[in-house]
Amino acid sequence: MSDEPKQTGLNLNMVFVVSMAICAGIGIWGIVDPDSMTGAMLGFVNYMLTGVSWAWLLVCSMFLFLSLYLAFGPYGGIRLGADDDEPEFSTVSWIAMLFAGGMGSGLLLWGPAEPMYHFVSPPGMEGETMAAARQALVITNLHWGFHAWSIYAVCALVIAYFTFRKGQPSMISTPIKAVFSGAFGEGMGKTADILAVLSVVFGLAGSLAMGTLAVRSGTFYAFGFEETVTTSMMILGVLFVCYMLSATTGVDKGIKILSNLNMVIAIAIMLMVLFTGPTRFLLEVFIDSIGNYFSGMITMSFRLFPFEDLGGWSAGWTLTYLIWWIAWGPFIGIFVARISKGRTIREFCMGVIFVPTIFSMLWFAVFGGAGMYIEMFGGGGLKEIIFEDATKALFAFLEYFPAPQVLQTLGVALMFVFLVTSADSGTFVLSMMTTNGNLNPPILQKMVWGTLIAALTVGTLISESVAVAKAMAITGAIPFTAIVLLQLVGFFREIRKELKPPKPIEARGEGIGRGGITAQVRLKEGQS
Amino acid sequence: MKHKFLALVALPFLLLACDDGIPDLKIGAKNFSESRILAEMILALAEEQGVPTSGIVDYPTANAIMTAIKSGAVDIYPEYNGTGLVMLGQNPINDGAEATARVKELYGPLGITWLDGFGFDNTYGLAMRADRAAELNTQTISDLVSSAGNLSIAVEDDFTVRPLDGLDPLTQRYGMSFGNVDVVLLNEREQVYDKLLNGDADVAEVFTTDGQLSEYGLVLLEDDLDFFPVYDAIPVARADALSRYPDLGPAVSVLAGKITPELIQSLNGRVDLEGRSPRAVARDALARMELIGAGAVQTQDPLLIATETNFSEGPQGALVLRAVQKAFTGRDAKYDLSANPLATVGAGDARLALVGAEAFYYLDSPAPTPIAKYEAVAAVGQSVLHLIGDRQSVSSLSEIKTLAVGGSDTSSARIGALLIDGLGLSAQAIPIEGGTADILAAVTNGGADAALVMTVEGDPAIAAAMADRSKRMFSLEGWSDGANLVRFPFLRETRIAANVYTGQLTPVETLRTQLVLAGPAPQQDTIVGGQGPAAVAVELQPISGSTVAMLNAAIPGGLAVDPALPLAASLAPALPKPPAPLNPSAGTSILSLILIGFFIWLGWLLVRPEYR
Repeated sequence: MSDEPKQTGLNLNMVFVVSMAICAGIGIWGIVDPDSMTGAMLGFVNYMLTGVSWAWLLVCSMFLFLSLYLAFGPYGGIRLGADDDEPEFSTVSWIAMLFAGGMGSGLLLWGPAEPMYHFVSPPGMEGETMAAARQALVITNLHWGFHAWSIYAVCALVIAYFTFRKGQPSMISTPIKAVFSGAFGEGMGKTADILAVLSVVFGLAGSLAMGTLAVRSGTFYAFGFEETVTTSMMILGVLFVCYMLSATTGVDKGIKILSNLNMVIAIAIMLMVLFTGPTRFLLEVFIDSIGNYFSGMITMSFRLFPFEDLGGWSAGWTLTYLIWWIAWGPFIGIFVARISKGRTIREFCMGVIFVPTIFSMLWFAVFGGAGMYIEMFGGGGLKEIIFEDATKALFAFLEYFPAPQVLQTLGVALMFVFLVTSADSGTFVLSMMTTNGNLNPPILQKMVWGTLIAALTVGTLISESVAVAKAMAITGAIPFTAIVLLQLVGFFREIRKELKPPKPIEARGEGIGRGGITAQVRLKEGQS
Repeated sequence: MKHKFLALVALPFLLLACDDGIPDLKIGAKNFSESRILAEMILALAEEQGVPTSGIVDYPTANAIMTAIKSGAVDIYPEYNGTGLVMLGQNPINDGAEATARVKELYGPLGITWLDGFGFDNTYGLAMRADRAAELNTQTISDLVSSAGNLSIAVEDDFTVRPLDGLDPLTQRYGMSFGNVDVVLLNEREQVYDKLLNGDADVAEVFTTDGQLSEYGLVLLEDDLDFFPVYDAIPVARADALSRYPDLGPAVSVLAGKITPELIQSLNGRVDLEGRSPRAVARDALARMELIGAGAVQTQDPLLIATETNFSEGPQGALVLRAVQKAFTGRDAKYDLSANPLATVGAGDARLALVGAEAFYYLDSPAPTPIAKYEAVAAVGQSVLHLIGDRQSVSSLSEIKTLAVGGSDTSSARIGALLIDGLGLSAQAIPIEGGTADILAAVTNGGADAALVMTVEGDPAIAAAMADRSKRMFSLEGWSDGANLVRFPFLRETRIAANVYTGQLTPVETLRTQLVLAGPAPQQDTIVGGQGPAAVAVELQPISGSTVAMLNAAIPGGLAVDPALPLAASLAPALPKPPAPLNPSAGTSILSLILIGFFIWLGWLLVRPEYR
């Protein structure tokens, strides 16, 4: 499909070598002295989140409104690819793949738990009231809905546009090189590429470590397996085989099949809960939450708590989520871009933002709604288990439904597949990033990165420290935000040239129409 | 085609029909242990037969539940035939079989069926403490008549409103009037025993199947005028419910005659005295009778309270379990014996810990420092230092050479070390595994000169050891002379009044530490939350505010947590804040400035013309 010569061996370019070296350094630091590494990294994140919380919320909400503008504004019809390109994947598979990549096991874990947390202790209002129940779903949707997916969409769109429309390499640095020219642009580009590789590696290793722990607790509550390091290693071993197989067979085989499987399991669990639970109540909750979420969109998108002095709540919930989405941005961005060839920008935004958000809203209405139903009308008892341990609570929650064993087994399977689908797309993306944007990177490159991530995960799991995993996972998000903003600038500088210039007004005297200049620039570009 | 269309039209009606056909079975219970246990048994048996149920609803009074079954809000519940009669304004009958025949006849036309009895009767009775009864020379209710004007009676509120067999009819029948009537709520009925035991009430209205009667050795007064009718416990169901669930009647009738008075008394005792949940007790009993499979005994993991033997066996042990069970809806609370209860909570192996206040401090250094990871959620009582020695062999504190204390890390061992240090004693601590009785036994058999026990004042185990007057209790003189009160803020001075224990003729000056329920404190180390797309929550969350409030409401006494301890956020008072400086953080200001500069630079990059 691409004309570039097929690479087979390891590609030892500068981005690969430098990022490998830094990975090794940080990895060793994390294993030798986990406390100082966690302290330094989380301290940095804490300071950024509490000190300039306004900037995070502003930037992330701006992403949302920018993507709305892109979808419904003048650029909506531009195709990511040549004007006559067809989409590479069917719409269903496309959405399944991006959903499976972009969401993790957290979706299942926090399904009943998060709405309950907000129901019991909502910010700035009294808990366990009807108003708090309604607000709980709005807050949950804020955290898992449009903001999350528009961060992914922005990260992906800038890459997809340059890759498929402009035919440039699928690299983080490509849009940045459109802003700066010459040696400065090269330097900025390399720095951005290396930073992106680092944040993907650590983001993935941290997420995998946490995900493995989640699956481990899952197997404990569902099947009674001991929660030991050995169990984690066994889970990681299976996981490693699965994601390596999936990643090495490529996007159109392993990754696609697993993503479709993931969607099938997720929908099956959701439907079982929906139709064996209080169906009418859950659907009413869903419809009710749509209205509340949309009507509160503007307020929620900019809501901080300066007067209530609840900066801690914002940082601990809303900003923690936003930083997670940004941390996953570099690899979800490149991955979603990779599978979105041939779609128009409007189609892209609807598929990447709108559809997954509606699905998440239904998901949380079903799981969160059922949890609140149990607490409010069903005799209660779930709340305190959720506060005790969210993983335990998920399995206790599934006990309330008919055939809990089936649900619990599906739950563990879903958590596992979510991990695999995130890990395989991550490995794939890393290999793309270190082979100068090769759309089908060589197998050896994938093996090297897959193994490195597994090694880092093993180190984290042996330390048994979730704090280390978390620190690794999200710290990269902070510098990466600056990169995304620069990418956006490059993107808008390029895309605005696509608009048909207004018809040049007949030259009168010294005035020269805007279109004239653009045309001249185009001409020059063509020559150079 | 036409058929398909018809089928589609008929579908909603079919759905409607199947939805209306099987509403879940609604089981009721009255708000006390015995009724709950019986209702749980009905629930378990119905579930075993596959009858869909919607759980058990508690009703506050006999009147309320009777109204509910008449209106159809309840399908089945355990009732007493005597109550059935008086609720219809009938005169009570003292013959159980006759009464049952009569209620069947009377309730039949109302569409309510009385099934076969459980096999025991539970009537009202008046009970007194044995010593008080002997003092007043009372064996029958008639014996009370002459002195009733000076006596106080404790009753539950349902008894006060019963029209024919309640308090007013009783006093009218016997021609007496109590000087004081102390009313408690039906669902806190066990309080009448507390009032009786601590002397607030002379007489208590009790149920003859209560486990407390034999446990506390109370005297049940004879109803010499046969005022109280027979109350055979019988499941009563709506006739339409029985025909709707054909399996229900046979399922419940397997219990007929199976529950002996002894059995129900022991089951009641397990709920009221040991603090087990009615659900667990009922299912356990059914499984023992092989009426349900052992698998149906709920394996739902109980809520664990880590503590040491001394506190779980002490008088407050059952009280704490009951309170925790009330606050944590639907969980069966259990004690988990642990050498270091707080660490057990910290490791996530137990949700709560019952500890003395000193457990919140590292005691290794000369000035103990607080442990930050835990908070007190409720004060349960005071744990008082009892220093007890042999009357013959030791006469003063300084003569104690060996001091028996609890096993390592128990409250008594930790405070023993502080005591030896704080008073400059030359005694050597000897750790002894086990409860209060084991530690005191060391003094009796000469293993130690004295024993140090931390427990509530008036602990029966101590009273038993003191009963033969062979031991003495020491006052801790000189504790407040040094800096001890400042060094150990969790140890407060207290006095055991004279004659609390046999042979203790003078007040004893000693120390106390608060006995509290502790839970994990919110973790402050990082502001980044435990949530995220791939995040797993491992941080222990504190007990939620509403549960803390319920817990405090359920523990009688309303004791506030000692100010030396870290308080749960929902209990802590809101503190006034000092005026904030105008610029609390210069670093933040500079960071914001840099960011704004960055945003402006980005804007300029976007709008600047192309350079070539």
